[in-house]
Amino acid sequence: MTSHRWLPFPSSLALAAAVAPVGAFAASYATGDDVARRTFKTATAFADVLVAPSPDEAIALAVPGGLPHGPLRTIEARQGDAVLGRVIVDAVIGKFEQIDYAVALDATGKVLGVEILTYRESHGAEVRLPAWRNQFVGKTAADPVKLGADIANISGATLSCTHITDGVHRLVAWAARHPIAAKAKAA
Amino acid sequence: MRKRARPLLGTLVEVRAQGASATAFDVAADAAFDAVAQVHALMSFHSPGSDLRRIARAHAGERLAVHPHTAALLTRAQRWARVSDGAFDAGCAPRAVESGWLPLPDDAATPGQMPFEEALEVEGNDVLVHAPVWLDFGGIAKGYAVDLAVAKLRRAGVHTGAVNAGGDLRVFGTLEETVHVRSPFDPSELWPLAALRDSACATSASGAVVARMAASDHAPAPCSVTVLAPTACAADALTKIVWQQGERASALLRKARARALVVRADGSVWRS
Repeated sequence: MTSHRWLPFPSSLALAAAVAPVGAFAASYATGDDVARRTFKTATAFADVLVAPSPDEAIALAVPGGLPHGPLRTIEARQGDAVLGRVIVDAVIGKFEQIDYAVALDATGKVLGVEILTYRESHGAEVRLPAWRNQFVGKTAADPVKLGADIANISGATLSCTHITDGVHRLVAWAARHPIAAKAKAA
Repeated sequence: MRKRARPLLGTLVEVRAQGASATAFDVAADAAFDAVAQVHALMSFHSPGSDLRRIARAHAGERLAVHPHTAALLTRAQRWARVSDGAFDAGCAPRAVESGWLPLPDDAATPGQMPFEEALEVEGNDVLVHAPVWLDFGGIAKGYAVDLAVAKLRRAGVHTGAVNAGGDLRVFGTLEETVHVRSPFDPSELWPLAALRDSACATSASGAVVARMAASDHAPAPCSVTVLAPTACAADALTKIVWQQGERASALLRKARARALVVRADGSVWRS
């Protein structure tokens, strides 16, 4: 039975102090291991492989203008001697949030899927950082007009998808230079 | 509560379920995500192979076989256009291209002036093109995808749960969900806005989607519209209608068993 109702909300934003706020949105969806198990259902073993990128790769993997990328966590899915593929775990900073995500690649490096691991809205300490704060320029009590832009973020998800897409492209490019099929033969 | 999320439809699509086993949920969520990805592929204005772009390439007199989802969504869009006297306009892609929100398709027919609900006729899974139209379903495609994902979850045996595509939210089963809005005064704070059960919610705010709509002839203009409705597709369509018609949409809202909350540019709030 469909039912919906408004919760107490001020008739004007000038009365907004009447609203009791709750904490920032955060969600934990999965782990890299969950994604590996889901993607490679026929795997008999999973191996965690931490790869330290070379200095050049660390820059290529980084967000443009950001710090060099640290070690990459990969999870290889194996079936006997064969390597079925791998999952690479990474994180990006979105507009209002930090997103941990995982990319599943088959043995040839083709993307099988992208899944969000955790999502958390920036709050607390980050809000005091000028760069983060600047995103809210104009969103003050004197300028309530900006509420409109923020209501779009209702119920949490403000994901900056392009950041994830860019991240996936960087990981795919890295993976192409580090094929696992060859490693599987050598092993 | 089990949950998974994937980047789809240019946003975060979250699927949640209560009372399902881990294995059952994984299968159900895969089906839901696949359905959303399919709607995305069919309704993308960016991708030349989508049904939307096939329609944009069609000339007057052509008959196109489209995917059942495309036919269903076009039928709904036309119904919303008729009941809102054209306030809902899915033929707005030329304006969106002009303002730079969408890329200029190099292979499309020149769009005419005829309203999309007259220019296109749906017959089963065929679309008869009476005049060239560039469709942009925008948010209602997102709402449709959310509704479809809910149907897939239910068919896979999930009785209670929710699907949220970047704010187009639908909850089903016994779950009551509180929808929040970000405080304009402190972005780290969320305010509770509404409680939903077996219902949906969508918001249009002054941003990409709404900026392309015709300005309202009523002052002060809204800066955000939130609609609660039985389906996500209806909720999304109604945000566009309420944006332009304001309180004049009250009868339509009641008929659709929906409620709207409008925040106007002067900070005042109207809700039905």
